[in-house]
Parts: sequence; structure tokens; C-alpha cells
Amino acid sequence: MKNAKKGDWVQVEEVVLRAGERAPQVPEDTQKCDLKMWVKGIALEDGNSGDIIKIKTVTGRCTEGELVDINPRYVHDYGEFQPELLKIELQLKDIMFGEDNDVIG
Amino acid sequence: MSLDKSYAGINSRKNEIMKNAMQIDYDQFENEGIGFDYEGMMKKVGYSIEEMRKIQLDHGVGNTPLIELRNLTKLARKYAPKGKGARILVKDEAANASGSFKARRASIAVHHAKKLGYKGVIAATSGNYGAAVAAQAAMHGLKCIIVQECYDDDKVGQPEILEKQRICEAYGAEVVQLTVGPELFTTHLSLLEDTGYFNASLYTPFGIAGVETLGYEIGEECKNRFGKNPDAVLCTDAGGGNLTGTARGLKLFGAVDTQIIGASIDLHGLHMASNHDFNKKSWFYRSYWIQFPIHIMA
Repeated sequence: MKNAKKGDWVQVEEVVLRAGERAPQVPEDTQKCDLKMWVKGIALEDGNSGDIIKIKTVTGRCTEGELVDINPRYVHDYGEFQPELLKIELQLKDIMFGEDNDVIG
Repeated sequence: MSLDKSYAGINSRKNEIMKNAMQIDYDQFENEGIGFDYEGMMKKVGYSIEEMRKIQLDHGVGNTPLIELRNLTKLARKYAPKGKGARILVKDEAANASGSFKARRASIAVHHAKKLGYKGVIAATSGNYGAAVAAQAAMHGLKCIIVQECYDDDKVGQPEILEKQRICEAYGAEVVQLTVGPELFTTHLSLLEDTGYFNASLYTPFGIAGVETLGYEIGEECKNRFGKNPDAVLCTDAGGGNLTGTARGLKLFGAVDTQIIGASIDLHGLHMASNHDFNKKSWFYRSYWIQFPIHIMA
């Protein structure tokens, strides 16, 4: 449970379209999902996780949604190391620069 | 009277919203039947190549280095049949402000928005274009909203899109993030309607024209350095803007004998709007790293 105070930097979630009400051209698997939206902004009121709260974004736009995070951080990364790519690198160096590269063994 | 903000309600006002957000009436370019006057639309841009180059250079865009790749040329010549194995050069578009060729498009669109007196710009984009619009908007002191399709239903996102979110926010933009689906464009329309900002999305004449300087620079530099036009120019091709703009720029320069080749990743079998397929389209999805299925169209 997270508690946001008025003035905190928060992220809210809003359902734009419910599953079953999606655009007709959307394929079957996507039809089964809500179209969800996330926006970050400054909380205009106190709230707990799951509460609908009003926020003001950095462009000055006011909107509202379900509180999901406070001071949201970036958590993305670029996946597992791919050993095949190392093989390609070493093979390429061997082709381009010759036998000096004896790391391949 | 409050506006009908339902999906159907917003879409019913699409033409009116677009007119207000760009001051272009696309209806005037519609020919009889399914025809469209593309050249007529491009003339409406109203910027010559010289004007575009000045706008771009004033905002950290263009005159990127054309670097000779000697190692790759040598490697290609090991395997090329006799008489082939051309010198390979790369246009380093990462040298543009915001780090990609998309700055060329964004610089013209955002300049135009500023000239027309808009207070802000909005673009629906999940890629480099968002970073480009955000950077250009910051330079012009305009507000900026980037609308991204970036997560599947489990809130798992493509890392390259999430990285663009970080960059856009670093440039001071508001980023609106959505799950998979073409209804993103309805959210985009709704934001245009609410804010009165300029539509700086990719597929506008300003966006397309801005890339023409890329082809023009290639032609010009090849003429100066090698005394001839390039035999062939290979462009990555996803939406077609890089390919089309570069080709148009080369033609404008007079390099009409240059062969233009588009190279696309083959996304065959992956549905554009499928929640399930979404993250498989990522460059960081394992199969795409390993297989690199490149489809080349001459």
C-alpha cells in the first residue's frame, strides 16, 4: 500500500476502453484486454494505492486515475546476454584481422 | 455543452480536430476515386530545401558526418564477385540533436507549430521521433505531449520504447503511455482537442519534408568528396519516411541515377495490434537479435 500526499510526483492508471468495447479491427487476443493508460503528474490530493486521484502533468494538464506509483522509477533493461553474439564478434574479428585473435581457441 | 468523449464521439470529430491541429485541410488533396495528390500536399509545406536546412542547422540538426567504413568495405570485398564491392559509407544520423534522423522531421514540424502560434505540440510515437519532438519543443519553449504504445496487458514493455519514455521526460515532455491497440490515435485526437496543441505526428507533410535534407546532404557530400553521385543508397525502412525523404532529397539534388534500396525487418506473421505479438516485435526479443531477418526491396 502506497500513500501519496498532495504535491507528490505520482503515476496514475486509467482504463480508456474496456475489454469487449475495443475497436472492431483489433484482433481477438487484444479484444480480451482493457486499453489501459498511464500518466505521471503532481498529486492534487492525498490518496492510497487504488484510489482515484486528480493530478496535474508537466504540461499543466489536469487529469485523474487510479494511483499506482509514487516517484516512479525506470526499470527497463535490455534482456539476457546472448552468447551467440559473442561468437559472431570473435569470428568476425578473426576474418577481418586474422590469427592475432586467438581467443576462440 | 460538454463534448462526447467516447471512442465513437471523438472519432466522429476527427477531420475537424485535425484541421484545427494543423491548419491543413486534407480534403483538398483528394482526387476522384481513391487518388491522392501527394505532390500537391508536399507543396503546402511551404519550405524550400534551403529554408529547411537553415531551420535544422539552427536547432542542432543536419550536416551529420558521412563516415567511410573501411573495415566493412574490406570485409565485403573478401566475398564480393569481381567488379563489385563498392566503398561503404554511413551517414551518422545519431549526431543530430536527440540522436536520430527523426530530428530532421521534428525540427520542421515544431518550427511550423511555433510559427503558427501554437502553445504546444503532440505526437503519437513510440520511437526516436518522440525524443526528437520533445527535444525540438524544448528548444522552442513549447509544451510537448508524447503518446506511446508501450506495454502489453501485463505492463511488460519493449525496452527501446521505455528508454524513449525516459528521454522524452528528460527533455521535459509529458509522456502518455498506453497498452497495445490502434485506439491510441483516438487518445491522441482527444488530447489535441483538449489542449489545442499542434499535431506534430510523423505522417504530416512537415514530417516527411524534413528528411529531404538527408538525401540532399548525401548527394552534395558525395559530389564534393568523390566527384560523383553515390551508386546506391541503402535506407532502413519501417514506416517509409526515411526511405521516401532520402530518395526525394537525392532527386532534388539531382542524383537521379542513384539506386535507392530499402531494408526492412521482416515482421511477417506478427499482427500490428496483437497484445500477444507486441513484445515479439522488439529488437531485444531473442529471435530478432539472433536471426536478424532483413528484407531488402530494391
